Amino acid sequence: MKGEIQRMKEVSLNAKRSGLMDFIEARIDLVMILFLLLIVAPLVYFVARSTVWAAIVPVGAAWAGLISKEVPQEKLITMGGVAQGLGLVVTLFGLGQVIGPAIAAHNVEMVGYGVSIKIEATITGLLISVILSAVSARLS
Amino acid sequence: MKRTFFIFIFLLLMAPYAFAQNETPVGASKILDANISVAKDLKIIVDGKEVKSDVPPLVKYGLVYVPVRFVSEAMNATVTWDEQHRVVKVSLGGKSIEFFIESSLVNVNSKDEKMLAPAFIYQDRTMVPLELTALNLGASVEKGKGTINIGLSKNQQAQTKTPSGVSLNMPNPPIIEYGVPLLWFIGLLFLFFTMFKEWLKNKNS
Repeated sequence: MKGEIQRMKEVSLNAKRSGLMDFIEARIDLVMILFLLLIVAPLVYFVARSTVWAAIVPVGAAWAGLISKEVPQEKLITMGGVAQGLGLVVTLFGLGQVIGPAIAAHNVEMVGYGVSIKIEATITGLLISVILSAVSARLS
Repeated sequence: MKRTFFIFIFLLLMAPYAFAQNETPVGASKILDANISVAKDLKIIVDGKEVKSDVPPLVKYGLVYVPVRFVSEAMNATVTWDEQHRVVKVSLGGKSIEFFIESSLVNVNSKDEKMLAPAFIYQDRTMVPLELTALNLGASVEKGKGTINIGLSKNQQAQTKTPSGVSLNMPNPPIIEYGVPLLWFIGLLFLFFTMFKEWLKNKNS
């Protein structure tokens, strides 16, 4: 009787595991959005020195995925593209904000510091794009 | 309805740029006021060598003003710029002087003082009074006819320019500061709602 119960538990666990794997495979886009919002965005927000500016990138990419009506795999590519683009836009905007006044004040140190900080958004965007492309490639 | 929603989102995204534009300090007064004159022929000599600035020195209320970069290059002083509070700090050795742009307040070695004419921005250069800066940094100043002699002490000459704590306290526009966490939260709710919908669909099928 005990053995029977154990076997039934194992079957039920396997079914749950297979259900979860099916869901991950079928809706990888939602999983990646969850990853971007729950892991990447807080990580970037608390680790990056440009804080909220670099965090725009994962949040923006997640939103692109949320409003997109493509199939999951295409959605990943779109999100990657949006992350890259947003990263570049945020970096250039930040550079314009920091580098302009820094050059006007002839503060070379601030120019260097500004570049090193504002580049974080581009790096975040490119990293997200690489991860999403890799996941998408793995699924095809 | 959809179009209105997207126009709203677009406007929401564009708003930070408008805010940022408004918050960018526009202190660069490019117009010479009546109290400022250009002293083209004034020679500035630091330790026996004439030092030339790309912007000619200005005279305001009888004080000779030079770009802050000139001070850092000629006297080997360290200059930091605080964008948020619009403060220029010039340090040399253990001494420092802080100018508050367009304010008569000066902080000399952590002590507040009032000065005759404030530091200002001219042609995108921060102009500081040369004599006051040099004297407060421990250099000697001698005024001759059409010349200013600045003498640096030996330990000042030996001092190398070291990078100091650069202030980058740029205030973020509130729409960015609070908008991004808000978008993150709404996105998370939207995601959980989508996942719940998916789960219901799977359950029913």
